[in-house]
Amino acid sequence: MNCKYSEKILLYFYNETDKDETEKIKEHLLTCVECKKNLQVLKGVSNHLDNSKAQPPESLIEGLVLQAHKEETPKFNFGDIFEGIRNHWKVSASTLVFAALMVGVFLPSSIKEVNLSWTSNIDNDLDSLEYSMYEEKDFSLGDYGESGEDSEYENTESEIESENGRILL
Amino acid sequence: MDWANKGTPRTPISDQVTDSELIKAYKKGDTQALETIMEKYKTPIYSYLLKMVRNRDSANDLFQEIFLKFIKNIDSYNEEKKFANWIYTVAHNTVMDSFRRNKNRHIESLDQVKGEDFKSLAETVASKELSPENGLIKSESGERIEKAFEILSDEQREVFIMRHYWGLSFKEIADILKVPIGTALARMSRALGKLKIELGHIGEAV
Repeated sequence: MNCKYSEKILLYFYNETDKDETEKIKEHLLTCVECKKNLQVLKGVSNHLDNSKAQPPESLIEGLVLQAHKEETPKFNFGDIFEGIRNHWKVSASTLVFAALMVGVFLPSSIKEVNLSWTSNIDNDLDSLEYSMYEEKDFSLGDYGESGEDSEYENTESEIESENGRILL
Repeated sequence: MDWANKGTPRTPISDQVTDSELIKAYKKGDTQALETIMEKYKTPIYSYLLKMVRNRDSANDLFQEIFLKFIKNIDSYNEEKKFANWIYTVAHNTVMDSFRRNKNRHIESLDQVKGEDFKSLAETVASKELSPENGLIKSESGERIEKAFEILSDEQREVFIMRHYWGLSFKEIADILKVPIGTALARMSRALGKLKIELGHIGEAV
């Protein structure tokens, strides 16, 4: 039959019991043969395990180190940046606030000064100027008829004659 | 006799540089940091592997697999968590995967393992380099303990080895195994019960 202390003995052996439990277990060990025997076996096995620790061959370690050189991680990573921000968060935060203030003060005024072509209304003046010129041209062409581009070179004979007549007169 | 404080220390002996600092250095490309990490964890991990698979070739392959995973997946390691527990979880998962891969694996008999080890024992004695690092069975009681370990299930043996070689608390072991702490304790308690039957009064003899 298993003693109810069988698991507590393990905790006791590996120093995982508090002061009160340790005292209780010590008292228990004075009377419980089974637990005492468990403890003896545990000690014997532990001694053996201590004496049979093993190490891998050196060649295995050397091979792994060579492999690590091949897989070398990059020396720069974003983790460093985040860590820097985290470590100096006061400086980072004040820099950010200052930058935001600067943008808030200078950006709107600089935008106002810029006279963008699509907001300048320059087209309005241009349109009216062009229109008035067009109107004038129309008016000037009134004497020469409305027959198109060539009309200004195609005055009729009678017109030329009458013109000459006026000159002669 | 006061049995308390007889267990292995909870935390492995560490150098002045912490694991966290070593990992950061390695992530920045310092392979010397990797060598320090490997130096620190090679013995607990390799000892665990050898006791779990009981074959040096398999232990070598798994050791390589574990550290290659570490090298390739270091970016997935969350530095806020304990590195030891991360690498030990990788080791546990790798061993479990290998067990699944080799469902029909043939567990070598102790005689076979001894055959290999006696060969290397002869070599090391000849070169006067006999040391505990060789992981050799050196005494009659050691042989009996190894034989007794044979009868434990993989789960029972694993808790025993994790607790001893990795120096993790039962709570940490339970977290790696994804079981309640009571289950981890029960597995080790049952393992101890079996060992007690097999070994008799070995504790007195050692």
